[in-house]
Amino acid sequence: MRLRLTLRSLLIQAAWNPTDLLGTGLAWGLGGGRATAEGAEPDPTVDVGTRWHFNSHPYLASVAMGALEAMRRAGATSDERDRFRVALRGPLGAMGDALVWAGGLPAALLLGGTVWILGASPVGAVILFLALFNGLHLGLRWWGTGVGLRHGRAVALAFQRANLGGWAERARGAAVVLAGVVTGVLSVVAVQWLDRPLLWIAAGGILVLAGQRKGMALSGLLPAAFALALVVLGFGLTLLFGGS
Amino acid sequence: MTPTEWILLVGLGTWATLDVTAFGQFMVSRAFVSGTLAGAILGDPVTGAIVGGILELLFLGNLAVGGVVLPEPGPAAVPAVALALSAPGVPGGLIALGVAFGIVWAWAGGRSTVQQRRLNDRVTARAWARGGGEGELARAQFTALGLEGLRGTTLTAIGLGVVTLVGIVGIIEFAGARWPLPTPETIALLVLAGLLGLGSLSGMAASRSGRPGAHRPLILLGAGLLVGVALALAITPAGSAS
Repeated sequence: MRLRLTLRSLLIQAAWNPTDLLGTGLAWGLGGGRATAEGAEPDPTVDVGTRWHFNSHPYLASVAMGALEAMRRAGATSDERDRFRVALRGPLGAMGDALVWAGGLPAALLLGGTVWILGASPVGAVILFLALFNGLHLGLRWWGTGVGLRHGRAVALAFQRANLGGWAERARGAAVVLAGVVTGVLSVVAVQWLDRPLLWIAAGGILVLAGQRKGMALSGLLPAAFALALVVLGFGLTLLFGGS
Repeated sequence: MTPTEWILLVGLGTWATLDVTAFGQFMVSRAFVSGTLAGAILGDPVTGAIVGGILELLFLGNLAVGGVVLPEPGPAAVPAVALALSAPGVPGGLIALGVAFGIVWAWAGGRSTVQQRRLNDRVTARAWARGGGEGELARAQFTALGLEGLRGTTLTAIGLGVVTLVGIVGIIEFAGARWPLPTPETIALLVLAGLLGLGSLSGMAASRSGRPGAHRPLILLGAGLLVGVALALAITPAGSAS
């Protein structure tokens, strides 16, 4: 059952939509919206046709899958399971975002990028990144279904004991350190490859610090729009002044 | 581009699109990964990693929190790399053009996601209206997955078609010959824009409260900077590459 739930969790976002978010994926993962204890008749208290609303970080949704399956086996009513599902949404989303999207993912990416800039083959760096990140990713899914199946409705306590918040803090710290490492490595590369390297390094330093000071305010499309503007400007100047 | 390369690139673009949200999220959809793989398919993984890596940096600050719809630089990196590698010698102008196309295509991919999710809504609503049993939901799941795959295939195929068209009308020749900067400076310029994304990511990641600006991010960033300089000097002694 643990393997089945973990594998099904890989498709939990297959039908992601603005109405029930991950609800359809979760219900499918658990054997349908009307699944009940094995051998029992379909639960007559379930409101047929009512969509499940569920949101979570996709990797940690496995915690909910395991816990809801354990509750179903223990004979919890659909009403109890519905309330439990709603209660789990916030913590699983926030914790996964902090641990994976803001910490583990950028840290693994920046490590792979650093290894490549320092001389490894790009394919080797990509393999390193995928191996490191998916170790965390698949480990989280497997751990989640296990802890959910073991603890059922008491999963919140087990979740707390795992101290994922502490791990998220460390992962986010590692991502920032690695952002510094990439900047440092690029500075040395600038000295080796570019004319007027100090100018490039100063510009890079200003942009990193500006990005860091503004954080989320600069996180949208601004860097990409800036790059696009530079390319358009380059070709525009060429067209205007006929550079070669 | 040979027919085999074209098929492999479309397959990679489809996989990267499915990987963004619908299936697995193994991070094949990161621009650094898909760009490098696209480059490897076309025989130049280094240029693929350069274009993919720049796109990665530019969109690094876009965190997929709360189910928000974001641009899709990973699938877009596939035609972007094909564009950068569409003339021999990989001049700086083609890298610039490839990255610019990747940015526009990433945005187009993000917009098409909105439509795709509305379609998912209709498919799943029908499955729930039929009772929400395992069979109905399985059909909805795999229909949505198929539609998402189709979106990825279509986007990549159109992207590669645009690359071919750009070559036919002479833009590739123009970009290769007339871009004003040498290749290293072109890459440096685009990386500069990416450093803004890198900084914003570090600001968000380091902030405990979600508000950037405290001293901790600066200390961590500075420590990393020193480590990076030391590492680079130890592994590639200054001046060796010039």
